[in-house]
Amino acid sequence: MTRDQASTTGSQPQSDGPIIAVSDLNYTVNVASHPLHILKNISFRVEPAEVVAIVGPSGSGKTSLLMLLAGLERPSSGRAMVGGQELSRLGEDELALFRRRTLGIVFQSFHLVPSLSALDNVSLALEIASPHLPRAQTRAAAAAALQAVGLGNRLTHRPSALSGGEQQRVGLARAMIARPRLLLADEPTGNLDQETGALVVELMFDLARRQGTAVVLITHDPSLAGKADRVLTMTQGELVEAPQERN
Amino acid sequence: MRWVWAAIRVGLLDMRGDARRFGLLIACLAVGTSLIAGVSSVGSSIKQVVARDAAVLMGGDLELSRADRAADDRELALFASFGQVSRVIDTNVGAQAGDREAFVDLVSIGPTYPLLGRIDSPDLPAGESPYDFLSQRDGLLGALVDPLMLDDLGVAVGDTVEIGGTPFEVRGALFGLPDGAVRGFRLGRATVITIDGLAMLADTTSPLPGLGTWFRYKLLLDGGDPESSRAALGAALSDPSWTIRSAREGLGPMMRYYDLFMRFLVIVGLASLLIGGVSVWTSMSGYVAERANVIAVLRSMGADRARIFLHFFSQIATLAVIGVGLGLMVGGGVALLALPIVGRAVGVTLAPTLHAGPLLVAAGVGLLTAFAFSYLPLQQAQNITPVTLFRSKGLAAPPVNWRALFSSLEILPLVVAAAGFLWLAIVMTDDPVLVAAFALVSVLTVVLFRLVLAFAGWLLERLPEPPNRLVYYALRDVSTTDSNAPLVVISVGLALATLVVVLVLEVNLRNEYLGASAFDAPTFVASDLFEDEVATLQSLRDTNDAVISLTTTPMLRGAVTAINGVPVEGFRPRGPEASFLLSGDVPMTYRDELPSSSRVVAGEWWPAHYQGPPLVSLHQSLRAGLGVNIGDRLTFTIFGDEITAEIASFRDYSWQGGIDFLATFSPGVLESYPTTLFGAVTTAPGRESEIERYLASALPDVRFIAIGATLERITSALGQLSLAASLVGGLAVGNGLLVLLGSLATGSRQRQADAVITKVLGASRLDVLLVSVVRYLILATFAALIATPLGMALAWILTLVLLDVEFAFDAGTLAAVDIGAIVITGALGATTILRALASRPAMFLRELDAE
Repeated sequence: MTRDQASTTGSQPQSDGPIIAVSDLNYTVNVASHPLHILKNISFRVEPAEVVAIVGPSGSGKTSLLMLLAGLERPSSGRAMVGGQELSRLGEDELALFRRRTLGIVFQSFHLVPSLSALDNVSLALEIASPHLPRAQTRAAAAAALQAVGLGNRLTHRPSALSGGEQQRVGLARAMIARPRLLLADEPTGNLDQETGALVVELMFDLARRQGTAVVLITHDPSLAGKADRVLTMTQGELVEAPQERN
Repeated sequence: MRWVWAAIRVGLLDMRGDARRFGLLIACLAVGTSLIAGVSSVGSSIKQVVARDAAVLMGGDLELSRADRAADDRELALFASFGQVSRVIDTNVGAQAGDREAFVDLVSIGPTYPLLGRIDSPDLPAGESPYDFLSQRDGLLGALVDPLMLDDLGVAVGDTVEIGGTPFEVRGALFGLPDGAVRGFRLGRATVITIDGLAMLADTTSPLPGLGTWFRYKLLLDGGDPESSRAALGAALSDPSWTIRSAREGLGPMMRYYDLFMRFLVIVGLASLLIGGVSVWTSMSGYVAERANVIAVLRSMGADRARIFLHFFSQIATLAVIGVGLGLMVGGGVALLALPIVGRAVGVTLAPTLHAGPLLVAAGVGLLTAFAFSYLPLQQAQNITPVTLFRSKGLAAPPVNWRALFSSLEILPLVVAAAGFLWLAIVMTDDPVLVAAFALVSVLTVVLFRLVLAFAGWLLERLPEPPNRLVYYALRDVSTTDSNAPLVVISVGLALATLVVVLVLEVNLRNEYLGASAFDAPTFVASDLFEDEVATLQSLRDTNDAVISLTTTPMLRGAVTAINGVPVEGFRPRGPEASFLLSGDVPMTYRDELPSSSRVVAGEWWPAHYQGPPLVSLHQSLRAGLGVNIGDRLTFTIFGDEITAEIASFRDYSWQGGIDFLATFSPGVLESYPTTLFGAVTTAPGRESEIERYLASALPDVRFIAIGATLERITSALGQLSLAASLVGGLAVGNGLLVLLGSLATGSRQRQADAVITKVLGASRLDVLLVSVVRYLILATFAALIATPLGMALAWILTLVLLDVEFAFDAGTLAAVDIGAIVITGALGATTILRALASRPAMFLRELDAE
């Protein structure tokens, strides 16, 4: 499976520049008629294949930033260029296309489709991203992706028959199967024990590096953040520290 | 296309494990579809038979009839110039064999009868003309006699009976006339003789007042269109006393009643389907809300709105096909079984075969209903975004954005589905006005429910806190934003409103066509009784408990001589009743009170103990038949005296006119004249023979007519219709119950969790249970308060559109239905938290957490 195979034909903008370029990004919501500034003047860049961790206390705006990067919310001001596209200019269908071709997302609560097997959960993502691929090819790719996360023997198991760590590995395989250029991970170890969490993150970074995928990881765990190329710290909606070199 | 199949496959896979949830949805669709499939199939079969065999059913292309005289030579020559003519004279006479008597519906036929079809009699040789078969042989005339009359008289084929005082040889048993369907309800046992035989009857007096003789001429056209021939005949005759009917118009009241009844059932079926649609809506809304996670995940992977739509559309389409398929099987199967029975009741042969048309129409409305009611949940599904995946675990579908929906092309499928539904409804009923009324009341119902619910919500927020703790908690549960209260109110309300409509319409349909007293018809009647004979009957009533009631009405004979002062000589009446009234001395009566079997349709019945100037009440057909109205004057000659009376009212006593009088005088006019009495005896069921024997021995000079027996066919048909109405009503209510169950299930997990947590906090099981019961009792009472007047209003509108008759309802039945619905809702509502209350809290909360 190559990126070309996995991509659909179309006018997907390709960029040799950073995968993420955010400048002066502000995000404000109204709560009880009062503006609440969630993100304030955020600016940062992420290069292709770079692994960036964002840390910070609860309520600091980490998840909001991730949602803006995924095109799920629109900024109040500023620019968010992801994969060479300015997200605020994209319509709903274009955003769907953007997510299909550019993004993979890993959730804290796994969010697998409970009625589908591990294999179907993973192949579903590839079916959506590459609707013209023959089904046999899609399933073979999904099986390989599950093999890659160590679940080759759990293909037909439904989520309810998998442990938390296994579910998150299925979630990782699902996020990576279409070979996205950017992987967004929201507290992927939040529902796992420390040891399992560490294994999952290691696997995630390993896969991302092998596939050349940039990663933005949100975590509370400093030890996990320490494995990233860079760590950004958020406090009260601001990036208060300059990007740090990886330990 | 590959992505389409992939989306459908994943959608279907995603349904796994949810069969129980969708059972209700499938059942609701199946019930609605089966009703429509069954009713449409039967209705369509009747229509097709009528369309194909109209001339056969009529016994010709046209029928000309009048009550006062036979056609003269000039008229007969005119008829013959259009085609072949056959003559039939219908009358009622008495028959006798030994000491046993019967009341005869006498059909006297001419040489060419029947022009089409054949008389159903095993004794009539094939190919032989019935006229020849019944002609005089060895000095005896012949008759074909209803087997029931053979039993009544205790005779067999080959025996001799007296018909109208003249002996006839029973030459065969009569099982049916080829034009039986257009003869409608006839009193008496059918018997066929020749016109020559009729001329030889010694006594042609009808045993009952108001029954005349009808001269009918069947015309089989040599060519040309029946409608234009009818117009040409009408113009050539220029005599309004002739009634000219095409085959379609000639269908008897039973056929017309069935046609009306079928349309009524189709409307109930459509209503039932719409109620089922509410179940589709609630099921799909709930399902989409619970699947919000899955949808958000799909969206996070880049699935667009079309993919989400296809995902759920494949599911609802599958469920709809299963539900509608089941409905078609059940409805078609029931129709197959019912067709021969309905055919017998209507008087036509309905083969147990199904036609594709009505089944396709039923499938169409079923599928359109499923689509229309799932469309909004499908829209909600498309509006779910992955944002929620980052924020919370408990998800819900976003509300429908009505403004966006109505301002975009996305509303188009809904409009097309609604238009398709209405179009198919018109195809089924062949009555756009009725369908328009149905659509209007459906929309009004939804609008009304929404308005009342909004008002109730507004009111609840402003009500002072109730002092009763149970009521307080129950009301609080009702008014929470995620409460299922609106759904429960709508479900119970729609089911109740439908039930009220079914009950009220059924009563009005029955009243219109069969009269309220159809089941209370007397067992025996006799005319021209004298006072001493009535005294004997009164004594019998007082001493024998087999006689339930005895009523007597004075009767005398008189002739109408002038209308508004103008002599009736040369007057051309319209219709059979007017012709009969002007035919000479006819029976009439006087009464103080309006009989229970009659109703005034215009004018006023005179006040009790009226003693003013002479007033008369006429059968409603005489208004057009004589061209008169309230306040006009009729002059009668009674015992040589001229009496002029003002028309005070017009009455309808339906088809049972045979036991009432065309003209009824006010008190104080006719009392001074010698009268006889018309008596009606009602016996206890099963004791008819005992009383009949007694009457024959106690009053040998009086001819009692066993009218109860002659009504068997009618009451049996009425029984079938009542049963059908009850079944349809039952199914509609059953569908309502299914919808109620669906609405109770909506959000039940949350309420179960609330109940467990309340229990953990120290409330007793009984407290929690009582709060739930009170909550649902409040909701059901509220629904009943809206639904009952609404259902009556809808029934009133449909009654006007469908029947154009007086509106009536039974308040006691409606109250019982309301109370039943409220109690059932309270009980069912309580059961939704029983499992949670019965389980150990820790286990239940763990289960909840694992979901």
